[in-house]
Amino acid sequence: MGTDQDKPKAASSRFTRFVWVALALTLICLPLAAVAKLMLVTDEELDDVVGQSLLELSTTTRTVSGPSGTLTYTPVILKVNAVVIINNVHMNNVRLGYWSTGGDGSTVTDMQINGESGGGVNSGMTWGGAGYPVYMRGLRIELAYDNINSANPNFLFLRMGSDDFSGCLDVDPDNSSRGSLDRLSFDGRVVSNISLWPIVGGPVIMDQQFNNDTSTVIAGFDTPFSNVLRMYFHCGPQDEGRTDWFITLADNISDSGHANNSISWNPKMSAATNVPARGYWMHFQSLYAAATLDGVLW
Amino acid sequence: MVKNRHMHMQTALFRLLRGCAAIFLAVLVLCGPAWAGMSLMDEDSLSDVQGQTGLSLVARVRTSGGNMRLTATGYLDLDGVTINNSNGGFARIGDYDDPATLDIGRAGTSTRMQLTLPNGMNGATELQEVPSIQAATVSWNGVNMGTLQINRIYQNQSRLTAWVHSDGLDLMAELNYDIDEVGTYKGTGRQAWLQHWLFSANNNGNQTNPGRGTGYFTFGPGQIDIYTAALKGTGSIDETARTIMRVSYPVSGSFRLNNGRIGTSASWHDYGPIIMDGMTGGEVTIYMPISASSGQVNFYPDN
Repeated sequence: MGTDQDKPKAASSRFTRFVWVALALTLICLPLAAVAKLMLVTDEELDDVVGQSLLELSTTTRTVSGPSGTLTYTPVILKVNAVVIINNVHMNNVRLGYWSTGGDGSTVTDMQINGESGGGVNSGMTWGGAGYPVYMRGLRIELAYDNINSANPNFLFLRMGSDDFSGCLDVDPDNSSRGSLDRLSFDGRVVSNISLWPIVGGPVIMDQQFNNDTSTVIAGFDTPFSNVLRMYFHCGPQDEGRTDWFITLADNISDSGHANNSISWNPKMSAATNVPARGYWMHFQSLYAAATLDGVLW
Repeated sequence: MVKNRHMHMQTALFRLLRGCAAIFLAVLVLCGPAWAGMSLMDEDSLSDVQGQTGLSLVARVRTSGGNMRLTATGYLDLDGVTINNSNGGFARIGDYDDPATLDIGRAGTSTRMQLTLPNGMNGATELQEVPSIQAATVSWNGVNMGTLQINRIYQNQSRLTAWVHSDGLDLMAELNYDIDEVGTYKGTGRQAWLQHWLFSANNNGNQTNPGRGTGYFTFGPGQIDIYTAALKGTGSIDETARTIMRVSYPVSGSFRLNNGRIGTSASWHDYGPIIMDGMTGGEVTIYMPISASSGQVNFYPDN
């Protein structure tokens, strides 16, 4: 039994205990409240929201036509199911490749866009220029082997790009009517209204492929590349239809003695059918090239 | 007796709770000045702040035998994953004079977090402790495609800065990197290597043998927007209505790959560089769709 003087002390002690307990519980429970908030999204909601098919990993076996028969190879494939848009990204110097073709020992550049020769100006290139952003609906990266299932497979080529590509590569971004395209190694179907190629009077079509360092060209360029101002893929003033677009790096590939030096197999065909040429090449199915002749834009 | 025991337990419980409260209070009091300091930083101080205002990290790592699986449509297995200096030794990030730092500060109304790696992996180059990551066996959707190596990752004070906005995250990556080589091989077959991935503001070297320049190759500042189920709608894939995540970034700087190499150690074929200099302006936007496999999005078929 306490005295009357003890009563305030006891009350004070109870109050102190209450404060300490409340403080402890509050401090302990506050972080739990934060954790509870993090757990609001259920698995079901997550399944509903997230696109689980963003990445596709696969391997396959392809048999395609070669110069003398067929070629079978096994690509390892990564597909990214996303839409990538490149709008007005300018580069003042683009180069791919510097290697010896092995014949006369000279070295070659596969692609060069900086306008140092052929009357061009060094204005570089704009991805998604001239009001036509580049759209890549899905990306594809392939590592191709002669037989990835064997113990010692040989690497054949690397391919990066999109099965569905549209937009403009503008090589005259300063509108000087002089382009900066010096060298290009490509396979595809090029349509233009100008005599970039020997046939005068449009529309002019260049089929298949071109490489600066070979004579295996279907039709040689009549005027320098610097006359090309813009390359339209499935867009612009003359839409040549749906196309794929890839950059490839390939080693030497042979089919019964026929090599892929300066020539791809099955040009202007879709990626799964095409075998790229040696070195760095650009592959597409079709494009429309806007170019100048005598100062007039075609 | 029982009452006494009960009171004794109450007292013990009270002492325990009082002890916990005291510890939590002490932690709060000690952390208080740190949070107060963080709120005072402006953008300038954020850019040149040193380790003492956030976390500092020095790591010396050598691992072996790890494994990892990435599951998407198909899967990727990495077995025998090692982190070292590409020669079995330790890999280093920073030292005590120049550590990696994680700082938090304010710019305008937003709170930002910035990760800064040290200068040239300070000391790592001299000590031959430049980080490398290797996977002894890569299984691509069940197919053994051999070994993958990312060897000798050099960088100089690269930074990653993040802050939030209403729909997602703002992010800026400032990169000054030279990744020595990325390659793959299986058995004695022909290998593929991409050598010297160079990211910087300015170029260096020449057109046929490029090197890493000074300054940052920059992504951003850009936005990562996350769209909730309520916003997904039924519109075109090119619009946000069919999109779960949108990543949008301006880019600037120079990217150079020194050499693409294919062959064997007895006979290499070197195909030279990929150069994209002086990137300016514009932006790269990536829309990630809700679903590509269910027929909602029809990408161009593989044929």
